Formats: sequence, structure tokens, C-alpha cells
Amino acid sequence: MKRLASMATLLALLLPSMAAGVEIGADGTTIIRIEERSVPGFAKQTVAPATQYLGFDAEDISIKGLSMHFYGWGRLDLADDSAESTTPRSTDGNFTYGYLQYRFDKANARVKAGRFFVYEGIAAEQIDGVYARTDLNKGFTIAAFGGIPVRLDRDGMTKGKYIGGGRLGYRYGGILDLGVSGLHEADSPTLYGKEKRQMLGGDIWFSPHRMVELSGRSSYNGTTEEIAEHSYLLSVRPVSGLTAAVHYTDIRLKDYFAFTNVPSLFNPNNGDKFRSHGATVSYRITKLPFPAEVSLEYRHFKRDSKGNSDRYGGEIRLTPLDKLNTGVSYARIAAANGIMSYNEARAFAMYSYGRFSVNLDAIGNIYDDSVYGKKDSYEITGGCGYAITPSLRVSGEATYADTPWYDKDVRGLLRLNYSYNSKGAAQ
Amino acid sequence: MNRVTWTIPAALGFGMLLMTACSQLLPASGNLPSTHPEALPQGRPVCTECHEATLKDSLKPYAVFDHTPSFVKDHRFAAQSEERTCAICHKQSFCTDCHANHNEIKPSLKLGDRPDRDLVHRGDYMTRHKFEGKLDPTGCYRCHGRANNEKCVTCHR
Ligand code: HEC
Ligand code: HEC
Ligand code: HEC
Ligand code: HEC
Ligand code: HEC
Repeated sequence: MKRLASMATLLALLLPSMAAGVEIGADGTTIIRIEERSVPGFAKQTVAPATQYLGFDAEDISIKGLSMHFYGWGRLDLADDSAESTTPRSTDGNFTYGYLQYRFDKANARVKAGRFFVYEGIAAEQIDGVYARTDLNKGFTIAAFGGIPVRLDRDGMTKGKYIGGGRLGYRYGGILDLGVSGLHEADSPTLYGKEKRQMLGGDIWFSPHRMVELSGRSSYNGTTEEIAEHSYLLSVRPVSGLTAAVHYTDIRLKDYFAFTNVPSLFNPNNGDKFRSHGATVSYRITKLPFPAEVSLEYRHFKRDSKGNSDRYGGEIRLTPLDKLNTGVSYARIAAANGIMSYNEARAFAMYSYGRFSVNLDAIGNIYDDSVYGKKDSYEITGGCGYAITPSLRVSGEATYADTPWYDKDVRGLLRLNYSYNSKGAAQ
Repeated sequence: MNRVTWTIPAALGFGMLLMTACSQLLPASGNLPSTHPEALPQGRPVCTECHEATLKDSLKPYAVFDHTPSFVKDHRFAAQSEERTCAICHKQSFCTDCHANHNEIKPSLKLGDRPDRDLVHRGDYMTRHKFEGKLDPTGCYRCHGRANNEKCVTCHR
């Protein structure tokens, strides 16, 4: 909250200094959920949390290439406490990111400072710090970041002291993109106390022919000193619109889960191995009679501790009219002994006409055995929206659910989206 | 704040500034635009409907970025080396709708008016997660393993 306040002050100070030519965009979403929660044995609760998301972007502030980006949310309970947490509170919020970025006009070079997310090789982190990247000569690229990791949860100080990392890449003629990436966090909380968190990784993109593409990554846990993950995906695009892909994943949970902050759930203290392979095929027709897409998916899961499971799924999407999107999907999950097997079916439709839009979504699960006395579970959501102006839209959904979790339950949601853009830029 | 917490980022920051300053010596070709020049309609874009050749920096064919069902499902592979390309069209808030450190509303509720989006946890996930979570806990770990798990610990202590 203190950070939020200082960001707001910074914003207020910077705003007047933004000269002409600055492109300012702001977008907000207000969501009010209305739900009745009844847990057997407890008093019925009506909750009406109002959540406010706010984003702000300013491009070319004073200097061309300098931009500022901000996003966060806050929640206020209009009725009973809604938080589902061990330390409930009637208000909550998160400062998701807020950073300054400078883009050089060459070599895709840029620097960021503030709070932001980093995705570089094996690193997927939220940090308060600095980031820089650039293309180098002869196909090399480099990216580096450093700072303080953002606290993972609010009950404890579950974050390390500082974090640093980066990725060194090498690209060759549209055929190859190789990367080596690393991450070091000091005093990261683990099951065994404060430890350094070290990850090393290699990633690849290799396309020997324009129809064939291999991508993937392997990671090494430098703290446990074992390989944590191999994940690879081979795609082929033999004709336009057709994509077929096979993938393979091999993960050692002991090394992959080593730095979790919920060890009871992601238990790093076992020798379990997870392996999965599968295939997806999708075909898209863009012209006559109307656009359509069919996709099929198969996945096999193997866990040493739990056995083998399979997932078979398919989806068809049709766009019979310009503004009408529809889809149906079905999946069968044939799980290993001791895990529930089930079927899942879903249908949706979305239509907009002028300022009006409607949407429908129905999802059903049929479990092989009953869960809390129910085998069938379904949920239907219907909604509509109206654009008051091009930058102000109201929408809402009502959901009816009869599931093991919700017994003939009705919930509602109201949404207000608004945006302001000084130039009318993209999303 | 102790000294280490500040000297390290400061040193890194300086190093980076130096590095980017050096990048000014590099040729100007291949720089991607800061935003996509053409506003795209809602829905997953198929780059090859409008683009033929290859991206000018990496020389990868545009088809690599066609938002096919497989691209969307496995976008982590594209993101690991191409975040700068994603950033042409996506603000970070687009990504944080699905994965952030602290989210409270399921993506499928926040974006409940977009049944065409590929959002996790549609329907009664409180029930279904007990089974799906056993098939592949590593997928869950990517979003809940180190963050966004305040709700989970009410049951999983
Ligand atoms: C509806 C048509 C359309 C679609 C779909 C589309 N683009 Fe574009 N894109 C354009 C136009 C028009 C331009 C500006 C003209 C140009 O530079 O080719 C452009 C420019 C670009 C540029 C800048 C090119 C340069 O040399 O400066 C990049 C990069 C780009 N698009 C990437 C993509 C990617 C990646 C996708 C798919 C995810 C995509 N586009 C989908 C129409 C489209
Ligand atoms: C040329 C613009 C463009 C580029 C470049 C681009 N995207 Fe997208 N992406 C879009 C648009 C447009 C959508 C649809 C958004 C919508 O319908 O609201 C989308 C949707 C998505 C979705 C959500 C799909 C769904 O159905 O929910 C993901 C995930 C995604 N993009 C990831 C990426 C990643 C990762 C990259 C970089 C490797 C990337 N995109 C690059 C334009 C782009
Ligand atoms: C529609 C929801 C959605 C959106 C939007 C989305 N992601 Fe993801 N992302 C996912 C899911 C689901 C996973 C986990 C996939 C898996 O298990 O393989 C994931 C995983 C990732 C990972 C791997 C993280 C790890 O720890 O290995 C990266 C990196 C990533 N996404 C980057 C991005 C970027 C960059 C964007 C924005 C351009 C984005 N994502 C937008 C749903 C989304
Ligand atoms: C792309 C990121 C992502 C992935 C992957 C993901 N989740 Fe979630 N999950 C979320 C978000 C965001 C929420 C909403 C915030 C919250 O409730 O904490 C959520 C909520 C939940 C909830 C609460 C649902 C409810 O109705 O309130 C459960 C249970 C859950 N996730 C379990 C899982 C399990 C099990 C997996 C793996 C099979 C998984 N998640 C994978 C992002 C993800
Ligand atoms: C209301 C209580 C509750 C909440 C909240 C909850 N879970 Fe669960 N979860 C369960 C139960 C019960 C099981 C089944 C345990 C069993 O069968 O051994 C389960 C099982 C799981 C499993 C499979 C574990 C295994 O046995 O291998 C995963 C993974 C999981 N949950 C993830 C999550 C995540 C992630 C969240 C938060 C986003 C979450 N859960 C929130 C009750 C809950």
C-alpha cells in the first residue's frame, strides 16, 4: 500500500511535466460480484466484493521512447467479508506493476526500471528492479535483470533478499534461436530454511524447414544440483491452416518444486517423477462456407506415485456470421486408479450487434463416481453487454450452477470497462 | 535495507546502462515497432493472413506467431525468447489477467464476457481441481507454486 501511494505521488508529479506529443492511455475495469456462500454448518453469507482494476500507460514522455506503465487492483467488500484466506480482510489490493521503460531506436534495445514481470528463458519473475536487453552483432542477443523479488504472499516475508539473472541468445538466419539463461536469488525461503535459489536453463527454437519447428527448454536446479525439467514441442505446418504438434515433458518434482512456498501442496520432499507426452492437431478454414477451426488433443500423464492417466479432447469453433462466434468441446479424462475419471463437455456462443453483445457458456462434468453425492455437475452462464460509448461498456453475467460444490446456486457479476486514450492507440 | 540489497541492483543497473549505451554502436536495421501499426480485431490473430515474409529482427517466419490452439496452449515456449515481440501487441496486464503474483478473481470470471478465450478453470473448479491437480501438478505450480496461493492454503496447509 505504501508503494502504491508513492507510485501515485510519482504519477502526480510526472503528469504535468508531460509535454505535448505524449500519448496517454488509461483503462479501468470495475467488477462487482454478488454471491451467496453457504457452507454446511456455517451461517449463510452474502458477499458483494467490488474490485477495481486500473491501468495507466504514457508513451513518449518528454523524450521519444520513454514510457511509463502502471497496473494494479483493489477490492472493497460491500457486504460480508469475501476473502478466502487464512487472514481474511474486507479490503485487499495488489500493485501488479509500475515501471519506466526507455526504448532505443536500434537493435530492440530497452531498459526498464520499477516493478515489472520478466520472461527470459527459464525466468518468469516479478521484481522491483532493473531490466535491459539488446540485440548484438552476429546474431547474439543479451538480456539481464536484477533487483528485489516481489513478496510471494502477505503472511510471511517469503521472498529472497535480491535476485539477478538474464539470458544470452544466439540466432542464426531464421533457422535457429538458442538461449542460455540463469537466475540467482539470495536467501530464498524453502522448506529447509533460507537458501539460495539458483536455476540454469537452455532453450531452443530450431526450424530446419519452414514447415517444421522444434521448441523447448531444459532447466537445471543449481541448488539441488539436479536437472529439473525437459519440455519439448515439435510442430509441423504441412499446409496452410493445418498445424500438428507433439510434445514431451519430463520433470523431477523434487527439483522442480524445490522453491515452493506451499510445500504441503507442491511437496518437494519426494522422489516423484512426472512425465507427459501428447499430440495436438488443428485445422482452420478461413473461407467458404464460413470460418471454422477443428482441434484434437491427446495427452498422456505418468506419475511414478500415482500411475498413468490419459486425456482425449476435441473442439470445433464456428463463425457462421461475422459477429457470431460459437464453439463446442468435449474431453474424456481416463485417470489412473485412485484418481477420478470424468467427462467434460462445453458449448459457448458470443454475438454482438451494434452496441449490444450477448454471451452464453455452458459447461458440464460427468464424474465416473459421485463426489459429495453428485455425479453430474453443470454450470450455465449467460451475459450481455452494452457499449454506452466506444470507450465505456457495461456488461454482466448470471451463473446458475448445480455442482458438487454449488447446490442450485445463482451468482451474478457486473462489469464496467472504460478506457481513455489521447491518440486512440492499440489494446 | 542493507548494503547488499542496493549495491547489487545498482551495479547491475550501471552495467546495463553501459550495455545499452554500447548498443548504440549497432546498426539500426531490425528494430521492431513499439506497437503494432494496425489495430487488430478481437480474437486470436493469424499473422500469415496479413504477413508473408519473416520478422525483420529474428528472421523467423510470421507463421511461428499465428495464434493457433497449439500456440496459445504452449505460448510459454514463444514467450521465453520472444517477449519483446509479444510486447508489440500485449501490455503486461494482458498476461497478468491469467498469471500474476496475487490475483483474486478467476480469469474466467474476470473475462466472463469472453467465452472464446482460453481461460483456465471454467465451471466448478473447486471440485474438478482435486482430480486435475493430480494428473499434472507441474502446470499448477507455474501459477500457484510460488505465488497466488493465498486461497489454497486455507485447505492445503
Ligand atoms: C489484419 C492484418 C494483420 C494481422 C492479422 C497481423 N498484422 Fe502485423 N502488421 C499489419 C500491418 C498492416 C502492418 C504495417 C505494415 C507492415 O509493416 O507490414 C503490420 C506490421 C507488423 C510488424 C512491424 C513490421 C515492420 O517491419 O516494422 C510486426 C513485427 C508485425 N506486424 C507482427 C505481427 C504478428 C507477430 C502478427 C500475428 C500475431 C501480426 N503482425 C498480425 C497487419 C497485420
Ligand atoms: C500482432 C499482435 C500480437 C502479437 C505480436 C502477439 N499477440 Fe498474442 N494475441 C493478440 C491478439 C489480438 C489476441 C486476442 C486478444 C483478444 O481476443 O482479446 C492475442 C491473444 C493471446 C493469448 C490469449 C489467447 C486466448 O484465447 O485466451 C495469449 C496467451 C497470447 N496472445 C500470447 C502471446 C505471446 C506469448 C506472444 C509473443 C510470443 C504474443 N501473444 C504475440 C495479438 C498478438
Ligand atoms: C489466457 C490466459 C493466459 C494469458 C493471457 C497468458 N498466459 Fe502465459 N500461461 C498461461 C497458462 C495456462 C500457463 C501454464 C501453461 C503450462 O502449464 O504449460 C502459462 C505459462 C506461461 C509461462 C511459463 C511460466 C513458467 O513458470 O514456466 C510464461 C513464460 C508465460 N506464460 C508468458 C506469458 C506472456 C508473456 C503472456 C502475455 C503476452 C502470457 N503468458 C499470457 C495462461 C496465459
Ligand atoms: C495460468 C495460470 C494458472 C494455472 C496454470 C493454474 N491456475 Fe489455478 N488459478 C489461477 C488464477 C489467476 C486463479 C484465481 C485466483 C485465486 O483464486 O487465487 C486460480 C484459482 C484456482 C482455484 C480456486 C478456484 C475457485 O473457484 O475459486 C483452484 C482450486 C486452482 N486455481 C487450482 C489449480 C490447479 C489444481 C491447477 C493445475 C491443474 C491450476 N490451478 C493451474 C491461475 C492458474
Ligand atoms: C476448499 C478446500 C480447497 C481449496 C481452497 C483448494 N484445494 Fe486443492 N484440494 C482440496 C482437496 C480436498 C483435494 C483432494 C486431496 C486428496 O484427494 O488427497 C485437493 C487436491 C489438490 C491437488 C492434488 C494434490 C495431490 O493429491 O496430488 C492440487 C495440485 C491442488 N489441490 C491444488 C490447489 C491449488 C493450487 C489451490 C489454490 C489455488 C487449491 N488446491 C485450493 C481442497 C482444496
